[in-house]
Amino acid sequence: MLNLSESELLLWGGIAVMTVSVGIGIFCMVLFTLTGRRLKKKLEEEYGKPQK
Amino acid sequence: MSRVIADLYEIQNQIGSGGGGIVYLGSHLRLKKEIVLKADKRSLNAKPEMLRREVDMLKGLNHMYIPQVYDFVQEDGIVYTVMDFIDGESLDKRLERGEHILQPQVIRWACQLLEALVYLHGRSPYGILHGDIKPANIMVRPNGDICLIDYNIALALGEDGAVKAGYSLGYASPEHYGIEYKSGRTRARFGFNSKSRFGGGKHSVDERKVKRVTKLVESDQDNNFHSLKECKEDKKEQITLDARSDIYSLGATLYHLIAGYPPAEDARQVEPLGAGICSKQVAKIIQKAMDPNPDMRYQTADEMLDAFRHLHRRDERGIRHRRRAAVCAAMVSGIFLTGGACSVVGLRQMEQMQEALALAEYSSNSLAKGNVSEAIRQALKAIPEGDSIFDAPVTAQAQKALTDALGVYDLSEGFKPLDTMEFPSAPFGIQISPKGTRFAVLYSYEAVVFDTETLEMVAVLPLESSALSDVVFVDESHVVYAGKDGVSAYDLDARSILWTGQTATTLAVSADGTVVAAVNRDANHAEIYHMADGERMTDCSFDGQCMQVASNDIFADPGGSIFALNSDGTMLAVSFQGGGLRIFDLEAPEDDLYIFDSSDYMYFEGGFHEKYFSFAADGNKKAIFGLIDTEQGIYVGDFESSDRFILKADEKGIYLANRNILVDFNPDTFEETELAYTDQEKITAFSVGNGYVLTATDSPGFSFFDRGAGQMSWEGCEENWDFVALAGDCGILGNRDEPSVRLLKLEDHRDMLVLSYDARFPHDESRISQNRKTAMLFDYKSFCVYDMAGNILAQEELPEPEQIYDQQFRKSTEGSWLEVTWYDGTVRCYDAADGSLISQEKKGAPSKDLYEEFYTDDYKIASSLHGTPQVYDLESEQKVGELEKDAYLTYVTQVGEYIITEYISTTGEPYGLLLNDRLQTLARLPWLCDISDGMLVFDYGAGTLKQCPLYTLQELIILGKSFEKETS
Repeated sequence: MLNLSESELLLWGGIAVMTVSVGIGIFCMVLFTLTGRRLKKKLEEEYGKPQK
Repeated sequence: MSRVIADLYEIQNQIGSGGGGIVYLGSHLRLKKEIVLKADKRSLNAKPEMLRREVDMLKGLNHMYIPQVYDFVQEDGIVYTVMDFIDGESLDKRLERGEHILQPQVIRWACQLLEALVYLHGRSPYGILHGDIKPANIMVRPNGDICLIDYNIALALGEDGAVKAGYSLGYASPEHYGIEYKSGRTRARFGFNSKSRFGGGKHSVDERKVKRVTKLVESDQDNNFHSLKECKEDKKEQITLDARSDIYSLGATLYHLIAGYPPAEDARQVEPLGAGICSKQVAKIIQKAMDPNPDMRYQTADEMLDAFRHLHRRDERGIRHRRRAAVCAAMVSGIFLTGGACSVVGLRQMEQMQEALALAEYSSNSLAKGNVSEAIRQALKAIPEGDSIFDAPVTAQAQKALTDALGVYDLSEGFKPLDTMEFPSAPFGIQISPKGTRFAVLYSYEAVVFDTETLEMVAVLPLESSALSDVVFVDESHVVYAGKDGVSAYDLDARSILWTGQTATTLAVSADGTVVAAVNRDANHAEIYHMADGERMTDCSFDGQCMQVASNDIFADPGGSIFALNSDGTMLAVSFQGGGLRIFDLEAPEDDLYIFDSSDYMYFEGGFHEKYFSFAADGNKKAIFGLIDTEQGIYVGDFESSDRFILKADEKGIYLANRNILVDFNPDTFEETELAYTDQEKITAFSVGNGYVLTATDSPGFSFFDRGAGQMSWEGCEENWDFVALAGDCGILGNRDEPSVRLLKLEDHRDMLVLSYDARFPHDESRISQNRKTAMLFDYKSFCVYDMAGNILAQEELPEPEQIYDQQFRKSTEGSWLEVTWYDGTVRCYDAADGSLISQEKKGAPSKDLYEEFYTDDYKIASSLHGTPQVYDLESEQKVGELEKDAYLTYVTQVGEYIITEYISTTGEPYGLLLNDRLQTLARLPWLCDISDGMLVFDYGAGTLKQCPLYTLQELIILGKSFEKETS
């Protein structure tokens, strides 16, 4: 059992949450980049290159 | 069929014909460039000026997707429009071949067409309508780009706002047909039957593949169409075309290109493009462009172009993708920020906690130095006031620091730290009034007198610039001091100088307070004054001798000289340089007593007590204490020691300290009454007050002793105490190195007394019964029951005390009793009300390890005789901590949110610890003997039980603040 005070819990818990969120963020970024590319390719097949 | 027109253009062959005219391929004879000449069908009817104007308008056009019009010529009544030759193929040909055109290609062309339309519609002053957009009028160049051709109908625009529109069936907007669909109503302003006009119903795909040609109203041969002329004749309201008509035509064209078949001629019957034909987004754009109601279409080509250009962006899948990404980003950001906020809050709280811990330590240090007000101030500072989120919970250390500084759980009788007073420089000396109501601190050039009760400054007395300058209290209200203008008497109540005499440094006042003697540094005579008025009584000559004075008397007073008056001021004892010691008879100089003319002694102390003069002298190798009977004028005797004597003699007595013992010396009987004994430490200074003695020792520290020479307290310090003063209920300590003095105040806490008992009764524990009517004092040999008035109700010896295993005082709603367990398993219970034996039974022999378990709301505490008490969580049964190591745990009590553990220390002293729910120590409770009815009861072994409440943090804060307010 970790004998942490409330303040220590807040600090380390907060850092842990931040770290996890960064991990999730990176995962989401990779995921959405890949799906975005796939979607872009699909849209280009459907609509052609974006018109300028 | 080569033919030259206007001597400039050669018509080579016909390349097409339509509703608008015949198109020829030709060449520019001068530029040698291929051109197109278009013979306008309207030329027979139209005014040449009007045609000229239209061509001029088209000549000004210059766009990538619009052919360049060069010229307008009239030959043989035919009007020719000369324009760029567009190499390529019109889209209708592709459609005729049944060629499938991919959607991306259609979108690309749509954008190019719309760019062309944006350009056309944007021409000044009112824009140009093409009016006949259809596949046949769209050329595809070899590079894949399109070119919008055939501006015959566009030429028809403009004159007086009238519409000279032609149209192509299926591609023309309803307005071309003179039908207006607006807000759910249909208006056929040209009066034709729209149903018959469009033939009604749906067309089959084959039917739709019929080639559609442009119809010019002016040359209309079809009975289904009404000419503009007819319209004018009918005087019907004309429907003007605008950009939205071109948008409809473009929509219809795109419809045809994508679907492979043209849309229905009736705009209302145009079938939406299905999912299998094109994308939903594209279908929506085309559907909107072809809305029968112009108001519901794209209002400008630019708007429609925008729709195509943002197909990617506005695609539902893209939007959904971006939305998901945004939601994820927001959620992750939110989680990140929440974590960040928690971290910041935690960090701030930890910083604040560290600060609080440091302040708590400073507070403890200040308290150790006796600076109570500073200790309280720092402890309060360590406790956050507000309820900000950034404030950490109050630390146990801060609460303990405040509790210690306030001393709320120390109810023992004794001198307790009151305050530490700071001064500009280290003191030269400390004086206290006879009853201890005032004291004076002497330092460079001045002395300050304070009231001991209020610590208020009473007077600031400017002194002679010598560390030898004296201040002597005559009584509680008067003081004599070596002022810078001369020896002065000062009234502390009136706060005024009574009189001033000659310049002096060393002073003496007779015990009756009537005579003052004064000598200036190394002068060879003393001045004697009446205290009452300062009148100079006499001059006492030292016969050329002078007192010992340090070479530098500015910064320190080394002491070691005698200058003392007897009780009525008739005798003056003076020690001199060279070891001389003499008692001057101020009334009869011939009766002076010469103790030493000269000697090896260099350090003298002494004074008068009744008829006796006693002195102590310290030499190189020996010290001496001597006694003189001044009435008979005889040297009574002396005794020597290798250690220095410390002597204080006044009308109260002769107090003599040597090594580690302080005695009260009776000069009549030579008896010595012990006042203080300090084990291994040597006494370096002392002060005898009214019933108490204060001693300072060479092992830095000080002690207080009571009337019976019992040591009340001892406190180790970092510094030696050169000056100690004790009178009344005030003690003062100072040294020559620190610019401060410590004040201590006698506290007896009489108001917290709960029971007085015979202090001679030996006992280990004291307990108050549940109903608080009696108290039981007991040890392994006996017990005694008192009522709360202090009367003994019972006193019993316990049988076979050496066989007693344990004693427990039990309380319940039914009563209180002492439970005694013997090793053989016998358990006897004695009533706390009257000491009677309640029960006796034989149980199994108890374990010899004295293992016990205590329970609180959250913890189980396991304690054995030699082990450290272990704490276990009741729920998880995990070990969560340990209690005091070097003490025997006796009781554990849960009081509200607090836990109080009681111990017997290795030296046999009982004490308690106040713990919070995390087992952190909030307060030390020395001599705690019981917890009764929420009150903490203390037994200091001096015949009294005292009690106080358990203070909450808020109560401590209030006490601290009120103390701060009082001392500020």
